[in-house]
Amino acid sequence: MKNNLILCCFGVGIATLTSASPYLIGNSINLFLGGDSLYLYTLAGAAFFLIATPPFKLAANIYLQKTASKTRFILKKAILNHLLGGSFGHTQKPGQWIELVDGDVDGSMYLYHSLYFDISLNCSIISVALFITAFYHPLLALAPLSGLLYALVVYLATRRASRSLYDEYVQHNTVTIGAICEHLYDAKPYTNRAKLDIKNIERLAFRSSLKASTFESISCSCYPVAIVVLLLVSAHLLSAGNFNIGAIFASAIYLERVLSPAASLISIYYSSREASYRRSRIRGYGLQHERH
Amino acid sequence: MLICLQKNLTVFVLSVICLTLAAACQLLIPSVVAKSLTALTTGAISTEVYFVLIAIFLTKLSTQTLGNSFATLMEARSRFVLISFIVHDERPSPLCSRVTMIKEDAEKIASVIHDAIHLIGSCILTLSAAFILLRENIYFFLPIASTIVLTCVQLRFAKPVIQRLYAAEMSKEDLYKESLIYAFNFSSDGEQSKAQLVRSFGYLKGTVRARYKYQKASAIQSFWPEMAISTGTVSVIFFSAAATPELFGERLIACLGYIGIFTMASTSSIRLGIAMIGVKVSIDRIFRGHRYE
Repeated sequence: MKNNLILCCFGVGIATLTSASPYLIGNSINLFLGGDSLYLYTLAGAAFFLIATPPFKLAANIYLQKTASKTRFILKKAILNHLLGGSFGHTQKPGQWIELVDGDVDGSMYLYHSLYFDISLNCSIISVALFITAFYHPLLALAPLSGLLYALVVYLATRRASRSLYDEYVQHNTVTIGAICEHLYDAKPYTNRAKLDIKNIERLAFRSSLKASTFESISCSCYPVAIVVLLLVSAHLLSAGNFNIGAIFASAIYLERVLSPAASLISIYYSSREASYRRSRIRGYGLQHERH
Repeated sequence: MLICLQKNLTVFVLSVICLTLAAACQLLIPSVVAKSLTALTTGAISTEVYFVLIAIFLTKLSTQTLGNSFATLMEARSRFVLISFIVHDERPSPLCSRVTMIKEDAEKIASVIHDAIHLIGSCILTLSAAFILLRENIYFFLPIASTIVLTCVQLRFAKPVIQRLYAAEMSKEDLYKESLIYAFNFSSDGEQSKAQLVRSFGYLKGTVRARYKYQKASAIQSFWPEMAISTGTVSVIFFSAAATPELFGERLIACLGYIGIFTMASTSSIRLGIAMIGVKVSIDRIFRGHRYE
């Protein structure tokens, strides 16, 4: 919990650093064009943020790896204890057991720590960009908000179907890897059954990925939706005559800054479905350390 | 990796074509949006603009969906081609090594193939962004050229360290997998099973530590090019402000967007490059000089 909180702080910090530098450069240019000598100090501030971002990212990355390696050890140890402690059926083949221990822990590790970092980072960038867009004109915030609302509706509509996207694929993969390891122990070539199973897994991988990518693409259509809303709102504001062209272009840039992290969040959600199923298998053991 | 390409050439070509088309559409989007906004401000906007915008987005999304799915199929097929090679390889090799090759090496190579397909799109973005930056502001030439040269030199020096750490991780994985196989075989025998389990925990600790060291080294190696790009950007901004005030304005703001694309695309390219250096060890472990390598 504490580790994930620290990772969230890293995410918010990196989002602040990356959002602040373009804002400061823009202000510095305004000051420069206005003949104000303060522009150099603002520029120095922007330079500091630009230079500070990579070391901060590196620190976050190393902390993340360190935390993940601790959790990896604790989880694998707990699962091994559980599987070999006798409370688990002995019907599985050693290859299947290895897939259950290593495959599930490594495959779901993203959800234990990195997820918190990515969510805090992207949500912070979205919040800052939304605030700045609303600062130009509250009506202009309608464009990114409509994009976000569209993505939210798609998420709610596809949530149920996307939950089980990779279940069949992971289950078949575990059984087939177990069977292949048996061929290895017995030093025997593949049987026709094994070949058919492999073809089936390849088909399942393609089908699951196609479904996940389709859902992701439908969610990412929030971008054209938001652009169309921006054009309509801008046309309305221009016809009312209380708006300048520069602000429209600036809001288009900030629209990108809202929707780009939103697209990252969408991508994270759909690409972590396999990890989610693997984690649910680990949770199924009811381990004490799983909450770590 | 040649064997994976040979056996899945059609899928590979299809995924590359789809992802290249998606990257091209992605590059078109900012200019189409800018044209739409210009047309709006001049009062010349028509329904045609909306149709073009939506058509480009739909093409991008559909080609990206297909490209992603073909890349996943390529990954799955490559993994099983490699596993089949490992299982049917008649040259002598310990059982634990073969299990590690199936569970770790084959998965890592297949994952890198998947990422490499995506890298092609990333490369197009990097090169296009670099070209646009140079066209907008020629002073970006020095930082871009220095970043590329320094990255190549740095990767050359980083190669032995990365490969050593990766090989160390794999050898620890071998020991851990061997201990697991014994542990599962003795699982019905109480005392022996406990002793084997304790041994497995020791090897597990070694494996986890070795992986952390490899990942930490990879993160540090990826950091330097990113730092070089940031330093280059700062130097160009200061130079523009001090020596060429005509460039210190809206053009610089436009450049910042492309700097963002360049940084993002080049960082992911470097990360994949470092992953490929490590995975070369896995390729050597599996093929051991076989002609398919």
